[in-house]
Amino acid sequence: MKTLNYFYNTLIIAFAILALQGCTKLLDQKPYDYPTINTFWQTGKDAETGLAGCYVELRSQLLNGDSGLAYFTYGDFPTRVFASGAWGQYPFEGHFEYYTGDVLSDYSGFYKTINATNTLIEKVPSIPLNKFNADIQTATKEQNKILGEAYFIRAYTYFYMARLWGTFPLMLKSISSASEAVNDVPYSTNAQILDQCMTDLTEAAKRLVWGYTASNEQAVRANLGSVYALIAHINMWRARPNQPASGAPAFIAKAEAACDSVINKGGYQLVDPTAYSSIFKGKSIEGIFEIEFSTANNEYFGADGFTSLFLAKPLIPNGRDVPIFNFSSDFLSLFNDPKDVRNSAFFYNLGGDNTMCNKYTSISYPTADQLTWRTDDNLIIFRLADIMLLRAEALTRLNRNADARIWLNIVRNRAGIGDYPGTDANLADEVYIQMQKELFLEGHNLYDMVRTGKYATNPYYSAQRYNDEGYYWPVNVNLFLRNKYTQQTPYWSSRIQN
Amino acid sequence: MNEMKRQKFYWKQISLCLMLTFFFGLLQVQAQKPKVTGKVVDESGKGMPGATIVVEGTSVGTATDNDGLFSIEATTNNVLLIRYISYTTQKVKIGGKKVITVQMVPSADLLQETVVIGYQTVSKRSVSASVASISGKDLANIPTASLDVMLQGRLSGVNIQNISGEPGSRQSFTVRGNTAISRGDEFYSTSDPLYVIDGVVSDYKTSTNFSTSNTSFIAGLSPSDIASIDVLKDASAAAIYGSRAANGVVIITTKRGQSGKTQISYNAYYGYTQSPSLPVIYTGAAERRGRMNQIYSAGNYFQVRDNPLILTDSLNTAFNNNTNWMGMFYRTGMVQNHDLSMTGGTDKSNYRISAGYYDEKGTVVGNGFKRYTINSRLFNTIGSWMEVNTNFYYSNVKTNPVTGGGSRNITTLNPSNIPSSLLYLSDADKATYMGLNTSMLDDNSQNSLTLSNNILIKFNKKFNFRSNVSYVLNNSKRDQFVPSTTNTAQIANASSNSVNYNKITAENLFNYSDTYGKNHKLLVMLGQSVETENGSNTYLGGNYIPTDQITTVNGVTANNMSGNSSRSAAAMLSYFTQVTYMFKDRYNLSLSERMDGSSRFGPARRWGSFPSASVNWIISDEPFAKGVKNVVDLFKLRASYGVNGSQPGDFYGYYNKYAVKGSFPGSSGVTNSYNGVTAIGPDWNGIAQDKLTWEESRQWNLGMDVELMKNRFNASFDIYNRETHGIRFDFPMPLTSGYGTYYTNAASIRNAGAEFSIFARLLNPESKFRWNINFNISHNKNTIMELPNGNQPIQVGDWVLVTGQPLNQYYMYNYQGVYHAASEIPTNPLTGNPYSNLWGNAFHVGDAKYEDIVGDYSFDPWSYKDRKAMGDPNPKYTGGFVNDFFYKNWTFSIQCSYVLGRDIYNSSLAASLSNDPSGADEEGNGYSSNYTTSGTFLSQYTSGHFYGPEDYIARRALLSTGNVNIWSKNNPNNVNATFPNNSPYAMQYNYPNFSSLFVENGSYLKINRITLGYNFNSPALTKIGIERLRLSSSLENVHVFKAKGCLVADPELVDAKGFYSGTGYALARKCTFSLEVTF
Repeated sequence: MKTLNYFYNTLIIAFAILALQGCTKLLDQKPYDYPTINTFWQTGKDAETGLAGCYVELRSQLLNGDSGLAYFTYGDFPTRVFASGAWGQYPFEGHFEYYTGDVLSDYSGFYKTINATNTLIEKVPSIPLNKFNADIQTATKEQNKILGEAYFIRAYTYFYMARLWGTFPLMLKSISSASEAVNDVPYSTNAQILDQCMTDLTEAAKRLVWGYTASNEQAVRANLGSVYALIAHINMWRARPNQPASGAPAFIAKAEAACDSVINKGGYQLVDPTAYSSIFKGKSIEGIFEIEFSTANNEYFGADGFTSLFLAKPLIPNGRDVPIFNFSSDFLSLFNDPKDVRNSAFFYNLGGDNTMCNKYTSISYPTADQLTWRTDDNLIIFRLADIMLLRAEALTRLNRNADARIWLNIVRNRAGIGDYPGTDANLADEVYIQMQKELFLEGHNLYDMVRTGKYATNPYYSAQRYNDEGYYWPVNVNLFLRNKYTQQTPYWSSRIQN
Repeated sequence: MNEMKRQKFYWKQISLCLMLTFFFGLLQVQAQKPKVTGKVVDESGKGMPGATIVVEGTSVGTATDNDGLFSIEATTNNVLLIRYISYTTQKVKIGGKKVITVQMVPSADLLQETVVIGYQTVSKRSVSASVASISGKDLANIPTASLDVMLQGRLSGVNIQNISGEPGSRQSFTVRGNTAISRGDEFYSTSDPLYVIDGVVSDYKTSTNFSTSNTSFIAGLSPSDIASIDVLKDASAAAIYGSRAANGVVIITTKRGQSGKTQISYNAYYGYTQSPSLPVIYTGAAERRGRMNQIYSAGNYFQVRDNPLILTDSLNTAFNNNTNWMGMFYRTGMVQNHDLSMTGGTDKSNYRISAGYYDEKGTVVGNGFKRYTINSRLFNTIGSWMEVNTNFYYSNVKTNPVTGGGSRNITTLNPSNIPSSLLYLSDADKATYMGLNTSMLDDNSQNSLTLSNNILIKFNKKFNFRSNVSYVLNNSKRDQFVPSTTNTAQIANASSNSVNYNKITAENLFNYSDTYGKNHKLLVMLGQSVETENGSNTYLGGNYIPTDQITTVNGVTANNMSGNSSRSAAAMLSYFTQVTYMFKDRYNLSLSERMDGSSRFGPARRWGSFPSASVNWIISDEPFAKGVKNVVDLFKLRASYGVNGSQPGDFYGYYNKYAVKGSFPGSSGVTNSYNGVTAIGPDWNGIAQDKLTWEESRQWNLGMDVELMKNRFNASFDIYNRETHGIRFDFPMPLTSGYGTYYTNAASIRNAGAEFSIFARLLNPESKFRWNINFNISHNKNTIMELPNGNQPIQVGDWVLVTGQPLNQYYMYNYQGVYHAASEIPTNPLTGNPYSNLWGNAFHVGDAKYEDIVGDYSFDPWSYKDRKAMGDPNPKYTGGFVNDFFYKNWTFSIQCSYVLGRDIYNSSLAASLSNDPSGADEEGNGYSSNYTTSGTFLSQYTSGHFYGPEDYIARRALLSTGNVNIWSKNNPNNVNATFPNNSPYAMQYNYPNFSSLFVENGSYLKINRITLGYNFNSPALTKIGIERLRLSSSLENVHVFKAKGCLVADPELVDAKGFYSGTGYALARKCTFSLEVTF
């Protein structure tokens, strides 16, 4: 009996020890469903999907808010393109009657795009080239292209934010664990932010090339043309009249040079006047940078996407009777030239009832009864006509009016309204009018208005508000609790209780 | 022949008769043997009812009747074994005797009632921990699907709130106060205890994560299989469960086999469930009067002029309609339950097998719950050195869940979605409204299987080894189909989701016990356990199903289809030990320690240590207490201290996760890419935190147990202090990081309180009329001790966490009454302008007086600036009481539970007074049921209906606000008005959401159930083999007594954060009849 006991005891203890040794490995359980920062960033494929991740973050930030309207709410609505509509919270009448808890005054979401690009910029250089491609030259090209696009996305995001809030913290390092995160980050100045954008664009320019090898990437992935278009916009923005005049000529010259590069080296062409709609369908020869939407790739808007708010019957047979947003008569009165091709290319029933914008009308129906629908127009960020008008603006600022007329007239002629007949004194005004007419609902008009100084004379705003930079958005009250350095934008600081 | 015909007749009749006949027949088959009769008496010579008598080595057995008498078939060579709990088993040789009297001797080791603590079963007398117990008998025939509902008010220190009346749904269950900090707008923000079912450990978080429904995982247990439930409340009892026991442990023990004659029991009940009382909605003329009054008393000239047609058009055929459309969604339900069990065996081996069926048709149209269970427990001895227990449980739970946002917010029941009674609803309109309730398919089925094997090897009298191996398999599946008729876009969609979960646990324990001399006793237990868990999920969904005849994902084009699968695994390694030393059986010291290593934490923080110590002193056993021995049976003091932990539900919380992403505002369908390239990036909810670890609760407990007058009075009193540190919480990440929040150990909460429970036999237990009372009361004070980032208050939506204050305070506008005079309205001394709202409109007489928290003379009812922390949704006192009356064969019982001292927020009243102009029209436009199951809005923009505000007012159902005294323009001198002017034209600033105006006293006393029963006890029944027959009837959810000024329909129907939505699934009243019969 005793021996048996001894035997049992030894057996069980041995078993326990064996179990113990085998089991400690059990505690290392790795996730099956997703990569982690330690397992990702190993191959060229990872870099490619990671870059798509950056684009996705950019896309969702530009489409913030209800139905993805943010891009237009920021860029178009404050110019009163629409009469006040059903959605009272949006700044139709220029008085920005939104409350500070609004999602559109919260810039923290943009740091998702920033952090994603920061991570990519840090991680991709250390992926071995042979993980991109066996051929070292091809591999270098691929790696450069991915990095270049990431630099572009970061620069565009910071520029986009800078036009909305002016100043905010500049984050250039990735944060990938809780211990790396710092709660209170000081603000950078507007100049520091825009300088950083230019630094990023220099890096991007080193790595990107003109044109596209894959037609599928036309305009919807950043290339050297996108970089120069952004350089032009940033420099012109910095030269706006309420900024110190001393710096302006240098900025304008840089912008003009960048426009010149885009126009001469980019290989872009204006589309035919009969094919205006192909611009918005996307990937046109005119497009310089766009956010892609494609039903084929399952990247589309459902019936509650932003385009559906601009549309109604009969453009959408089972849509609402009248669109949510109705153009203001002031805006429609710009289209007073019956020869203008854009009267019919950009509008449904201009001059009649229920005038609708039909820039974004790439509608498809999942079922034959058409009870619901999808849209997949691209979000046009830069296109050749915009760069031509920007160049015209730069040239008028440099008093090179004859040169300015060249680019203005190209855009006018495409629209079928011939050369500009007016005087040089009104030339700058005409450039601005053409910007409004050509680029409305493409997220540009407010910035055009601010950049050209027209904001100061607009009946809904004032010179005082222009000087106080009252076109900036207020900063969401919640951000003050999360960063002690948070500042309200100057115009709003006296108007909002935090 | 005649007999057979009769049997055939019965066969076609009700199932009860069938079974009676069947078993009757069985009994007849048994051969006749010589009979021995006898009597079992206790030490004082009184007959002992319920003692079991078995013929040794056979399965022949019986039990004594009420007088201690028995009769059994046995031959002269047989030996009878007579057993009675807490008495030593007696062996009696029959010899030639025909009549035997057996005197039982109380067992020496003081084994009276036992409780299960950790890996041991100990006598209640010697336990030094704080344990609340209930016997399975007390849970018999309570007509609810889930066990937790039955325990309400029964156990001190345990607070169970039935926050939803959906059959089988999960309820809130906390032991000694809440420590869960809500991660947002969660329904179940309570700290759930750990469940141990016959030694198999299950936690709620994991079970919920791996389930397709909201059903409580213990709803798979049939209450009639339960022998006892012990809730371990203090740290020393729970410490042996280490890193998972911080919020208490519920130990459920199922019935095991009984040696002796085969016993077959059948329990059944059947009854009706009544729809709860609906919110009072004015209909017909009353509605018209109410609306007109609103318009005339508050509207200006134009508003009165534009009086909507719907209120004035007497030619409208629906003008005098007085249908409360809400009634469409309710019905009278049904509940039935059948349990059949069989037990028997010899003293060497025994078994119990049971089968159960529960069926409840919910009171909300389209909702129901069904459960099928099969359980078996087998016990075998091999020689004298080995015992084997084999348990097998299977359950299948089928539910048809309510539609919409779960049982808290049933979309279809939201009063703001109910159209005015003055509208005519065509059949098509009704179909749209009712669509999700009547024609949506939502079949949820959960199969659970538990197999466990428990082997005991006795090396010698002092030393044994026990090995438990268990396997748990849960497989749940949910199939949904939304037909095209339920939404205006006419889209049919279907989905199928299946979730698998399995867990293997192996435990090995050594036990050693020895006595040294007369006075010293030592028990040592050493154990080890390994646990692995695996979960997986497969989902397939499709939109635009071509026809409503196809109800599965079939015939769908590729880009209308979505699917994904996931897998996850976790493991735990544990070592534990427990040492108990007893001196003279009245001084008891117990020490325990458990080490857990969990894969849910990073390598650096993986292992945790959870020690505990407890002592007790049975003063009544001291020699000096001899004098009072005949009055004081037991007087015991207890003390304990220990540390417990709690694990997160997420298996991979410490990893820095990347995610496939792609969706954007306005997108619909599944988007995973940009430019066709799959997009992967940081998961903004999953930042790495290597330091993620278990929550740690440190608790001391002082207790006292008293038993008086031969157990006629039995009381326990405990005080405790539990401090939980490192409570995990979604702590905000810096705004410049892109991450919203991260889940980390960040806060500390103290729960301190006292508990008292008493059981009293108020009348002499020997008398014909007996009255027993079971009463308990628990007090708990909840305080936040520590918050991250220097104790800064944390706002979580409309709640706020503040150090020194209780958990989940409301963050609200402080309502201070109505302005009755212009002089009461403050004026800004700087500008001379009166106190006004955000839009610059000055406050007037009749408006609400809200505290100007920031002091800027501007009240903002939208942002948080004019809000402050107020109220306390945590109950201060909870408890319950049972009165049991016995008279001859009759029993009568009333069970009540109560909650005292809690604030609740009446969101339903806020919604109805704020006149939010959203809502549905008669065609269902704007009606939220147009959401698909995936939450996509299908029809919002398909057709526009624009109404003026007057029309909006008139098109919605008008809810009664009870007897609330509302200030009105027509009666401006109404100084008693407690509610401000309710103009339907001035929205939201007199009645903002989360105004303290809507905070009510949530105390209540509820009569949970009344039961009347009759036990048949006639010799005639015994003759035909029926040992026990009982008929009873019970009424469930009888009545709720509310505090004065409490306007909610049922103050229990609030979540842990005190939120009353008014759109939840109300608790049904049930009336049932039940039958229990044992052969």
